[in-house]
Amino acid sequence: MSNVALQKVLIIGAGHNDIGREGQHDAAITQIGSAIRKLGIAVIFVDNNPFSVAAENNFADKVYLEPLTVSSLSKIIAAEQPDGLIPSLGGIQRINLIQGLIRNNVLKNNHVQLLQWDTDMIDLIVNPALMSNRLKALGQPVIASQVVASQAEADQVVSRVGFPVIVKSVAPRIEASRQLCEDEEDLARALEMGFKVSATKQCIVEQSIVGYKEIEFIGLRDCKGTSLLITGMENFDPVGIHSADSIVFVPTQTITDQEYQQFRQATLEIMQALHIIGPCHVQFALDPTTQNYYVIKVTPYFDRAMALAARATGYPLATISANLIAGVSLAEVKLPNNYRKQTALIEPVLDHIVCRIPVWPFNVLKKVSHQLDTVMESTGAVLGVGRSTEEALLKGLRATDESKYHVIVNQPQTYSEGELIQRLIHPQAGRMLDLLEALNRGYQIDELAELTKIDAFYFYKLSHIIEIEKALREHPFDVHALGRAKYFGFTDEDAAVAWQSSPAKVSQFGLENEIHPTFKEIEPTAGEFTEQTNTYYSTYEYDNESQRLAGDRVVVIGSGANRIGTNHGNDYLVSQLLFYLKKADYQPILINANPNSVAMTPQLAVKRYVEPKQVSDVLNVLAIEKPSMIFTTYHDQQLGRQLMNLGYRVIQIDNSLPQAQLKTNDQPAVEVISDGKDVTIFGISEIIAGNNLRTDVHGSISVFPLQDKAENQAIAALMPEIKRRVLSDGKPGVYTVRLTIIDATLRLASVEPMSIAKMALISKASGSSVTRLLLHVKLGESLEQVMYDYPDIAKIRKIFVQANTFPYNQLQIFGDEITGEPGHATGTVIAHGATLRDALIALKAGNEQTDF
Amino acid sequence: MQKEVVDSMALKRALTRITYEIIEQNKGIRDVVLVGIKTRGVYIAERIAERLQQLEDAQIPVGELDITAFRDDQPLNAALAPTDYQLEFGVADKRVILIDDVLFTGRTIRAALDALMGGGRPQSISLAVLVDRGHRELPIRADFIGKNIPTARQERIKVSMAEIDGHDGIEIINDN
Amino acid sequence: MADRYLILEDGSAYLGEGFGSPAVSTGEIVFNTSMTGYQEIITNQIYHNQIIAFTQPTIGSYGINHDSYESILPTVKGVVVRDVASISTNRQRRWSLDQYLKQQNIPGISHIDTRHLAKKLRVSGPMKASIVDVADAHAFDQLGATVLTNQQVAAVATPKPFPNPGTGLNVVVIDFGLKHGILRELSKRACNVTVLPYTATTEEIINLDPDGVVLSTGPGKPQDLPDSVLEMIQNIQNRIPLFAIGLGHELFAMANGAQIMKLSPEHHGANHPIREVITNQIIYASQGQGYAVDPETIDRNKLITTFVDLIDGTIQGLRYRDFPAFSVQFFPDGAPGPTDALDIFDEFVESMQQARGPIW
Repeated sequence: MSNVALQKVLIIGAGHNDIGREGQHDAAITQIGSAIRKLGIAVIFVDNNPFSVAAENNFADKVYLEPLTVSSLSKIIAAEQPDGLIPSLGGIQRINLIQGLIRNNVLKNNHVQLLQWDTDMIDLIVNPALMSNRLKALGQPVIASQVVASQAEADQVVSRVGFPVIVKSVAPRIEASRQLCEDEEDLARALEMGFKVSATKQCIVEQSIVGYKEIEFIGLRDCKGTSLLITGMENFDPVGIHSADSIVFVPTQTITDQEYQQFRQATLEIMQALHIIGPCHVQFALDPTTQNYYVIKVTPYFDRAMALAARATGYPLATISANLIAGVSLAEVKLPNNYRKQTALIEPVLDHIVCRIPVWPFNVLKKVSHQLDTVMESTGAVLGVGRSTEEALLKGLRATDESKYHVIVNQPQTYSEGELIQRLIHPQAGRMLDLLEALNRGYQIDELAELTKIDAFYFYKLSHIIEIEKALREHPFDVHALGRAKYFGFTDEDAAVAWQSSPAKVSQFGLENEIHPTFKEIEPTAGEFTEQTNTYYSTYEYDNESQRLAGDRVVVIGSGANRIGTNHGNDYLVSQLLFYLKKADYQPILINANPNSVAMTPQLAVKRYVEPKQVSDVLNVLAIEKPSMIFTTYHDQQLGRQLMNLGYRVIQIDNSLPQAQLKTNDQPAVEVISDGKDVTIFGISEIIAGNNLRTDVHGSISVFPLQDKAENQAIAALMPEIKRRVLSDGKPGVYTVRLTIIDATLRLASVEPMSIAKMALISKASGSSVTRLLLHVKLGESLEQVMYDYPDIAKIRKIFVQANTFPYNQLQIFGDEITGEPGHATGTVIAHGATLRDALIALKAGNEQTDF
Repeated sequence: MQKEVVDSMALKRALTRITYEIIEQNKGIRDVVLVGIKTRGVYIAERIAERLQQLEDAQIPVGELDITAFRDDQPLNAALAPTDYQLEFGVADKRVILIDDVLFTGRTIRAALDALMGGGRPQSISLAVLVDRGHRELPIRADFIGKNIPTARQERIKVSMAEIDGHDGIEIINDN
Repeated sequence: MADRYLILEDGSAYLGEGFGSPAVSTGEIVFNTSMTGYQEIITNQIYHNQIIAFTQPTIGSYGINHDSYESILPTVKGVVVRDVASISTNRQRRWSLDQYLKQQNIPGISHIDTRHLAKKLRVSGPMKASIVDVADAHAFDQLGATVLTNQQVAAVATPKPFPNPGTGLNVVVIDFGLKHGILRELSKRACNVTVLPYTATTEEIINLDPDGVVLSTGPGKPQDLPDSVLEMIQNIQNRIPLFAIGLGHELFAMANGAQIMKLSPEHHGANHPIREVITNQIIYASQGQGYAVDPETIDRNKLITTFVDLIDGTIQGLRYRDFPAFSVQFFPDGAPGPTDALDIFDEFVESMQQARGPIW
């Protein structure tokens, strides 16, 4: 059965969220951690991400909120003596760390087995040139490339293969440093950047395959060598645009069976040759004219493509991977009984189409180049799921919540012919509108396919969307036109715009004419077997599969795409809400279309709808479930109000961020909770300037709890006023009451909803979830009922500090747009120590390069 | 110069085919015992035994022979004199399948036959080899052959098996 | 495009849109869960007289390719899909699925809730179905009255021998409605192939002095074939290495005393794990079967079970104990589907080489 030698394993978390590092790792860890514990193996988890859901709620036996450094991990390993280390759950950054642990003999000296991989896998991941040679030895086609340490060496390579070339950094310290170079100037710039971020001061220069189709395959292999394909996926955009910035379809849309089988076989052969246990993601470039291909990347650690594969197929990838990691074979995996026996061994097949669409930070960071290239710029992504390519695409575009994507309201565009052609050749974020515009202006499909290197198949689909929309406009309140539009992914809102009517009227008209949404399950056997994943998407067909749940149903609106600023911790909040709603015997139902979201973890909600959050989409779900309550978070205040106006009971959690960056030093804030009648203090926090940590810090640092006696006394004196101010609003909730010093006396400055970051900080410091408390006061319980077991903050002998991280380096932002305001943050790091000084040292450790 | 002539897949297939042929020619596996000649012959015997077990759900005895002392082409050395009977089981009335990796001159096999003699009178002895490379010096032929590989006399055949070499495969090595 | 209906023997009707040929057509409806390879599936003669419903929602997205045919003329009775793709036909000079089905006089119907259909068929098993213009009582009466032929092999197998020359081993393929993948794989291994009609006698086969004989795939129920086929197999199997696939496998089992049972629901896809008994390895392969060998009826003194489907437990491979004659239920040539089992063709070639003896 399982590897009997394993009694305790160590999982290293992914650290703070960032571009390219959303919740997907934490989502994998929550599932893998709990599945491994079910096998009777203890899980030790280390992370410094306050938004880690895995670090709360008993997903691990023991959690260390410690720096992610070799020395800190060495101490934990020495103390815990785990039997095995799971290397694949923390992303690329943790691979470097594991390399350090191996080089310092930490694993060897403590008899810790590296699970999943041969030891040399670490070197293959860190050094693409080694991987490339290994693949070549296996007979796999790889792109001509060479490691260079100087401009002169790079010039030699270019003189051989010619421009364009791709420059990648060797052992990079940040993700996605692939640069496409068309000329000498590009090359010089890319090399400079590449050498800078390389741990070995080297770059790889390689032949460019820009314009090829980019295809991604995910395989899974067990310790006995049994392997299978999870799925293949296809990038809408050609090679040259980072696959995270590209629209991706699952399953593949335009490749033949011969091509598909060629990739399947290559994926499984690579996994076999490298002895990989668990999932592996292989990226290919396919020359659309010759069927020749190249292997461009092998990723044996959890990444966004694996998250997409799991969400898109409904295959319980994380749970099964946990078993494989623990030495259980695919044939022996025991799944919960909502899955058919031996589901682990069935290669997933789909009867729906999933489209992943990236979301960019440009609405906040306006000066960033919108040009898409080989450097990843998107902060998150959403899914559109449907029964046709059109439906998946339209639902995905809608789920980005960007009104500018709405096909109907955004035509025509005003730019010149010349600019349009430029945009077609040099794609920009949100290029879908440019493509539609070109079709509207009469560009021929084959011409567009040639210009953009996007398969003509997709242009036929886009033309079809335009055709349907045109028919809709031309036939107000026509049943056939509405039925067809909805069948292919349009909504009441779209029809309302086309017909200059209201969504309510369109909805009424649709219902009267029996145009009903139907929900279908996302499951891995295309209807061949009964597999209950409790995950649904909507479409307009004959058969509805989603039945109303029994019990007290609560719908929670998920956070949607990861964005910078306002909602980067929102997914944590939503996950916690689901967890504690379930604990309180509610039936939490999630509406969310974010593939990387932790909230999508099957253990959290009892049912999931992978749907956009437009009102009509939400109403379709509500019509089925008829919940007693709906929860919305900050990003969906407007949606919440609309639902309230329609008579639903909506509990809005307002966790908006303060607009301005608070840089004031040494000004404390009181963190409180209110049930609407009374107020209780969690403790005192403080914001201190970033330069307490390091010189080049853009943001500030939160500190909690403050144990200064004098200050506490002064604050106690302000208590009646604080209470009055908080209660004047009357709403139950958690609040931050900011204080200010005027004329050497402490005075009350402002009351604002507590930020999610602060909730996470207090939760981690106290070991008790603030979200749980917030939920219960929102549900109308009194503070006495809610706070009865809340720990005494005065007894915490540690100081916790927390700092935001920013995407400025990654997005190459310079100058006055760098403000360090919370609205620009992509992640947050937490640390603690006996004193403030110790805590700051811990925060700094391992984060020397972090963009604070 | 080395050239891989059989890859891991083909090696696997050869073992599978030999297993089926053993069943075919012995009309089942009753009384069959496998005797592997050290070193790789033993691994081959074990893999064939595993396959027979999968198919017939029966344990087949596997013995090991070290025939260094029996070879007639080695100078006689007192320390390596033929010792006692080496197998843990007798071969009287058994159908013995003698297994080696490469069949070349036939001298190893002759020595193995000598080494079997202390175990009683078998019903039959047949020979299974992964590779027959020709150049026989004795009137010996194999009953089960994984692969016939024509070679020049000065060439060498290298059989690799995962158990000892880390991977499966057969190579021809030409030292010139 | 015109509204059309898919009507089923159980009285249900699905409204959709016609594509391909406008003909009215009746056949047995089955669903296939393969993710790729619609062209190979549509042209596979095992689907003779059947209507194929694809669960993969978008079908036709890369058109029709000259190297993806599994027979020269497809004989399916209809193609049922959620969505049929338009494709660019002038750039790569290929037919669209719509054009191809028109040429072949095969009706297609799109906009069908194929998931619902599959869920129905997984319970009911295959049913008679028609693609029609009007779903009225008359259409249902017609459907009910239609008797489907049981002479599928005769309809699709070659009536005359033909060669597929090569320079290597001499192989006779007995055609029951063969899939081109079999010839493709034998060609890759340089075999000199003669394809004979399924009515070929033992003598005709022996006269060609083959190194090996292949019993091909084909449509329909094996019991509908004449007993002479079983006799031929009995006469050949102990003299010449034999390799049987699909329908050929079912016939090989029958020739050795096993019985064939109806499989309900039928299984058409490429995602079931199949265990190779001898190595305990798990592989994936294209499968398309309405029948299976009844495991209870296998004479274990004659036949060894070599492959088993781990999902439905069906026998996927057999081998004669006493001579190199073996068979697989699945399609080791893929086309479409995984290539995990391609080396069974190598096994066959090696068996033939072994039977011939060393070359020196």
